[in-house]
Amino acid sequence: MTALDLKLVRDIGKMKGQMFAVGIIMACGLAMLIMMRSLILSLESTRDAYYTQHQFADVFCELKRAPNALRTRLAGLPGVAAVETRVTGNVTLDLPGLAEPADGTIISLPDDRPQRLHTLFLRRGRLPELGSRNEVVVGEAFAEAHGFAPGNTITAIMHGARQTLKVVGIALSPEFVFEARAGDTLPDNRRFGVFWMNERELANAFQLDGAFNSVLIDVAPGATIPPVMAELNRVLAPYGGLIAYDRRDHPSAKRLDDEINILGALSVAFPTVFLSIAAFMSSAVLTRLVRLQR
Amino acid sequence: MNPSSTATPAAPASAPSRDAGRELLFQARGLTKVYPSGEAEIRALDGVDLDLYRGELIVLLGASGSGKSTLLNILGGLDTPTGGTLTYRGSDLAGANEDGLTRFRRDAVGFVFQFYNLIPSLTARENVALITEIARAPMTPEAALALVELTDRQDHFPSQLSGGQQQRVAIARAIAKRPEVLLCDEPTGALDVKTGITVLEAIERVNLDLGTLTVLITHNSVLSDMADRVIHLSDGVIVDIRENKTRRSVRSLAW
Repeated sequence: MTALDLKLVRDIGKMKGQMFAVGIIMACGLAMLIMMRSLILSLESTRDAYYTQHQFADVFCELKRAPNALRTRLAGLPGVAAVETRVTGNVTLDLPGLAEPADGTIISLPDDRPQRLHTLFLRRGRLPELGSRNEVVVGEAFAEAHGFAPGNTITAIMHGARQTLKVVGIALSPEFVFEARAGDTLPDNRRFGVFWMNERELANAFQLDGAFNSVLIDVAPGATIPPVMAELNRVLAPYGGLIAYDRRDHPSAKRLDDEINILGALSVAFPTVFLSIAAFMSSAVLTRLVRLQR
Repeated sequence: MNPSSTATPAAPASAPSRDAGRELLFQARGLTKVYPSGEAEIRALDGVDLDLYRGELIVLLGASGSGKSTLLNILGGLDTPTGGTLTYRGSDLAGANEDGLTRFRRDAVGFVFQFYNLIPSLTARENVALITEIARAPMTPEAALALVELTDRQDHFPSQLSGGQQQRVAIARAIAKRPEVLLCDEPTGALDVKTGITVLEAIERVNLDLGTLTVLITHNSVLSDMADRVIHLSDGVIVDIRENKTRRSVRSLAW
């Protein structure tokens, strides 16, 4: 060991307290960096796996009304790998204990074909049986907020008609990682819920028999999304189609991406603060040491 | 009067009776150092002519502000003159750039100052080793410390040594790389008489044993007798040079 190395070791030994403090702060900064980057990686891989396993769509579009026969045409559009058409609507909920009525979104589950996109992850119970009446699956966040379990009933007003819905299952969906109204900054799980019901019954309730008002598209591997959206807009325009959008504008997906991006910024900011403090302390200690020894 | 440095450049402060056959190390001619001070200027050195030879022990005497330290710093490559010429073994020092001066200091010069500047967290041997680890052909730290008679204290830290012992460590550190020149700026200034004598003995021993040109600044004129030559400076000029026919040992001096 050279004399300079010896000097370093002994000087550090004499400044054990300061070095320990600097070391702890650096360790905190590095631990935070590693922890947050690991968390982000974990969240991103979980999100991607969830989206893949439950067939989260690439393109979404709402419209006024289009016949189910159009589904075949949509499936034949260039770049389209899979199409799901569905009926969606808003429901007003009459829940005991709430001064003002809650509301929610109700979405159809195909009952004449296998579900291609946005398959549910059933946490409890089952899906509505074919031909059943008033059976619904409830989003887990809303169910937990109200303590709903399979077998409970909910009073809802659908398209002006009062109905008693029977909860048969509790589920998660990739399109509602955040169960919130579009445009809400924070989820309010006591006052907003998501429900799934058999398509025929829901279409009947919303007077959309033989028709749909929501389209999900899975874009084929290698295809680009903008041309698919443009084509979708063109085809749906006569049916009151609104502007198609992709995951970047999907309320839940966008919110989830934003949260991960915020974590990414924090994963840089927090360690930077800790490491800057450590650098400042090291600089102060070493400057003083050099000044003293000069 | 300045017989050597101003009027007669042909008769510089060399030792004309003894220089034949000796190795000339430094040759200064018209060496000048001017510090600007507002609109005025301070002439720290004002045309110094000087020859210094290998193995000499030179004592520089003079009042504060006479230019002793300025001359020493320029000889040691710590400063550069503003006028005149200065050569070391024929190489120009006055016009050398910073790299050249650094090489010169590293290879040829050992410094001893009034304050010891030892690293407190290193032992005496390790302080000397700082130099021997980077020098070209150094002696061992143990040998350097033996020269200043500190063999038995080589594993002590500076805080465990007296002032005189610390200064001797500083001398050992300065001479461990076998420099041709040892420049000492009031090395006993912070020491009592008894301790000062031990330090001066170490310097004397290094000068005699290693043949190192030694230039020693002091305010103590008694030390003149230990030198080969005594140079008096006043207001930046050499006013007197005295050559001792025989040097007295430090031990025989009293003040």
